[in-house]
Amino acid sequence: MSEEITVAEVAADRPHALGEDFLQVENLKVHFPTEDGLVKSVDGLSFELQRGRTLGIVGESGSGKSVTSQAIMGLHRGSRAQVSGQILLDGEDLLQVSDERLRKLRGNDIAMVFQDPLSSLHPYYTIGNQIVEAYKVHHDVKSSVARKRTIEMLDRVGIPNPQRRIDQYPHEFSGGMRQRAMIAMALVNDPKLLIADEPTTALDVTVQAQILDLILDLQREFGSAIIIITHDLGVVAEMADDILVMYAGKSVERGPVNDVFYTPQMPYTWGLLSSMPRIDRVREERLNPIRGNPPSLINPPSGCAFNPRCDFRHEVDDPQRCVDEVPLFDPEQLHPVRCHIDHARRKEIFESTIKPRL
Amino acid sequence: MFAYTIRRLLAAFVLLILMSMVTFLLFNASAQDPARLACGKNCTVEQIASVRHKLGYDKPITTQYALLIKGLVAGRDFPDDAATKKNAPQTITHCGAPCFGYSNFQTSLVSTLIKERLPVSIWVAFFAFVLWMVFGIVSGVIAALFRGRWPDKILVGLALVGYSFPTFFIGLVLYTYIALQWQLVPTPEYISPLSDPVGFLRGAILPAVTLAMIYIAGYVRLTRAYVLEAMGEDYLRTARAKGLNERTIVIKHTLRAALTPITTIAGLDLGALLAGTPITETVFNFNGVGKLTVQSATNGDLPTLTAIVLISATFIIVANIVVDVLYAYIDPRVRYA
Amino acid sequence: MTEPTVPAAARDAGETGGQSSGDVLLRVEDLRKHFPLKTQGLIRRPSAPVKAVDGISFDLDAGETLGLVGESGCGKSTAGRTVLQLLEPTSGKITFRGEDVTGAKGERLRGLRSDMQMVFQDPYGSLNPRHTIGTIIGAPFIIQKAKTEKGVKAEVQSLMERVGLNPEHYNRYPHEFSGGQRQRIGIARAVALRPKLIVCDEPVSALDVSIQAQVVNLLEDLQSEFNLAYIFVAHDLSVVRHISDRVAVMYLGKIMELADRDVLYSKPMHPYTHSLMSAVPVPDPKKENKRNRILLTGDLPSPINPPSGCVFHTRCPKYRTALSDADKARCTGEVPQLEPKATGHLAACHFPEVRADVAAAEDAVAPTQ
Repeated sequence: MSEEITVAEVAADRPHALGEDFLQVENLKVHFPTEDGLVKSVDGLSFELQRGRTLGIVGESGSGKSVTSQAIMGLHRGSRAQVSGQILLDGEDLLQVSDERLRKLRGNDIAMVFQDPLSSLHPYYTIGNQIVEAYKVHHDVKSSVARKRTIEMLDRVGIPNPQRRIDQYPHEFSGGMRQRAMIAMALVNDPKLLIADEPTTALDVTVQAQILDLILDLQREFGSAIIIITHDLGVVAEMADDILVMYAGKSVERGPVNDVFYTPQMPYTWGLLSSMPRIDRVREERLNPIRGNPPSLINPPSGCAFNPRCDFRHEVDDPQRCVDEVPLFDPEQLHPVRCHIDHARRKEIFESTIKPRL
Repeated sequence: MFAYTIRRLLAAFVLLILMSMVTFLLFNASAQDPARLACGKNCTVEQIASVRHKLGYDKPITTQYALLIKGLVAGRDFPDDAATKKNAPQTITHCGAPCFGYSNFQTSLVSTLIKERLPVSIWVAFFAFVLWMVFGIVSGVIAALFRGRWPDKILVGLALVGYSFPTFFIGLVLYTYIALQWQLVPTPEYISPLSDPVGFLRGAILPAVTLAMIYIAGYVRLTRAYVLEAMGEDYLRTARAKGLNERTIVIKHTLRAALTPITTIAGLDLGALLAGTPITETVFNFNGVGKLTVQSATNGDLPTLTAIVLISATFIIVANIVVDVLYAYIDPRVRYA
Repeated sequence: MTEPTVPAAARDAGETGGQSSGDVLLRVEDLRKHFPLKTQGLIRRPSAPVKAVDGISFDLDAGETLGLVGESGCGKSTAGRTVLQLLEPTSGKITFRGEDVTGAKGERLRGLRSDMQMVFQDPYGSLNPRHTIGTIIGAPFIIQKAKTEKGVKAEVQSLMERVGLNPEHYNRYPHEFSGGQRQRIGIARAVALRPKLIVCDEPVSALDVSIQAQVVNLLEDLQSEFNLAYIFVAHDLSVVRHISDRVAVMYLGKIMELADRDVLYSKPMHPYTHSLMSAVPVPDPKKENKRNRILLTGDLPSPINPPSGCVFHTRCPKYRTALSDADKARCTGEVPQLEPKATGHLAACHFPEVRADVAAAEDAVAPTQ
């Protein structure tokens, strides 16, 4: 059933996207064979990103957001993962290029910042060694040149005393400083695309604020496109131009940041927004959690994967459709939503029921 | 670091003193009469009394222990009594420091025995060590890199087979076929590597291979496990994301992390082997400490056994310290204080 | 080390906020937990300890929730554990239901455990993987030799039902449950003996947003049902705002500010509280764009050798920009006491922000849309 949709998606003509998209992901599928069955971590995902823009991918654990970022980096190559679809970076399909070509793109054109900077840095090598290595692999320069560049980058990301810190080991850095070093390493080759996978989840809020500021600053300076992956809606509200909400390996809602936050359309997005406590205002009554548990990726619910947890199925003329039929996701729209509820009806529900709760 | 090393050495010294006491008590304060044991089966009462006097077993047990320690530090005489020294100095056997005692069976000072035998055990152990480290680690890395595919299955399978056969069986098979029947190598014998290095290698290859076989099996599995663990680390994902080539990823990033813990285990294993390998030395008829252990245990040669226990303990304790200190240099996160 | 405890005046001054008003269930006075270290060198002598908790005082009423927030390393988890005597206090006094329980041991401590319980952060690590859920939840009954009406199994099953687990899963093992369900198991175990006080140590921070809300609601329901008091230790200021009656903000082992939830969030007095709250991103893009963030510079100082005077002065934005040299000397020289700066609002700061219109997260930006 999902085949039909994805075919439709690929075939879709997208006037607004042509020519200007720097990154285009088309019908991406990443499936992992396991003893229990095929885990469909990403199952037909499409999105695009323009230069200098920031896309926030939001979802809970198991929604496929991190797997997507690793697929873009080609980190599933050589593993058992079955990857299909298209990932076009400047017109070049990253799923088709040779290993050697991909290696040249990695770290140079696309760079990545990971969630846990302590485990993502090699414990046995100095910070400097690791950044110099990242620079030299893409630039044929002497070590002294690479070292100078590294010190510049460490300074740029706000690490005090970089001449001394460059020769220290990761464990001698604090959490925030480590993540700065990771960012310096990611940006040392001036990448066109930066993927930040939960870059501040392991950090304290005060440090998170510093790191997010730094990323925004550097984006203004270098003009990179950024994909920021997070479960924290506050972080995407601050960072992103566009938001993609993922559920069970599929996109369920996508749109400009203001649209998604102020007029969300998908019951899952409603659930996310209304289940979180807010620091900026009191919620007098109880929180409104999404009931039930996240879906299995091996046997996802048929039809709309969110249907067993959805409180609004009765709003569909024929609620059976939610179980039988995967809702279409029309990428041509500015604010596409994967839901069977009628568009006008969704707006009504949001205004009358959801908005007062937020 | 220096302070740490000194503290460890002091602790090791105390530990050795305790070990020597326990060993001494177990051997010399047991129900069996040590003099009778030392003299052998067909001794007369007079002969036993003479041996008892000569070896000092007629003295109180605390004095005996004090004499043992004195012998280790300053040397001692057998028999240690003023009258004999005056009347018949020619019957006195002097035992210079470090003196481990006198073996009545071998009619020789224990230290002389050890001096002859220890190099044999140490050289063979080192030879085996080099073999198992090279083959074990290389195979382990290959197995990990080809996880689940045939090189992995074959190597892990072979390791298991090697591991399941007892040492004496492997030794005998190698001896019988490689040395005697096919004569691929000369009959195993110990030649000092200091006088003839090639001769040593040829003569000691079979015992070294036999010893290495047991360890290779373990090291293949260990290396494989550590490499696989390192391959799952986040920092390898970072290395890939940087665009490094596979060679750098494997050699610089994976192996550095995977082999560090193996250093520890290897050091300890080597330390335990230095004081002899009873089975292998017996099978190949190498006169090492291991074979001496077997002989002494069979004969109830208490002074020799005590010496071997203390020497093995020293090797293991020192190996422990060396490994811990070494680790601080390999792993920057480890700093002892 | 001769820092005085909270002055009596401070305790009396609070009517609603700083100190509790009803029946005091738990009183913590000048509690310290120091972890000893040893010097390096040939002979190792004890050296300056890690002052994880360094003189905190608060009261907690029956049925009340006190939020304990702060950055990692501020001592909030240690504080929770020391109150429960899972860690032995270095000094200070813990009074529980009017009885001095500091340093209780053996049988007496065991008795206390049925009234004071804990819910842990890690729903994966804190349940023994080799025990069934029934055994885990039933363990408190067995250990405390508690009498049950219809037997332990029936009691456990009704508990399971109460926390939203299927009682038929009595014989399953922890790995068969999701993170949220495991946290429910931990909660069922904690409330089994109907304790009076539960210390929740980051109970929802390992869970997804949608599951977080389920667990928070469960904790609130159990609280009103059994009149539980919670000490809710968390780094997530939004969750703490939602669940707490009063909130204490910790920094380097000390309480910086303690007040009623609404007062603290709308009018923070301590510059640390203010910057902490301004750093939290709000799920509202327009507010985000207008938000005035007070960035803290530098890293957390070492709890072995904390800064002199006010421990926060090395990172304090007010100290850096708004104080005269004479005022600065006071911050570096004199330890500020946690004392009332307004009715029921305690702060440990020489120069608290007492303006009525302190820019809190809510007021700093225009309303939505």
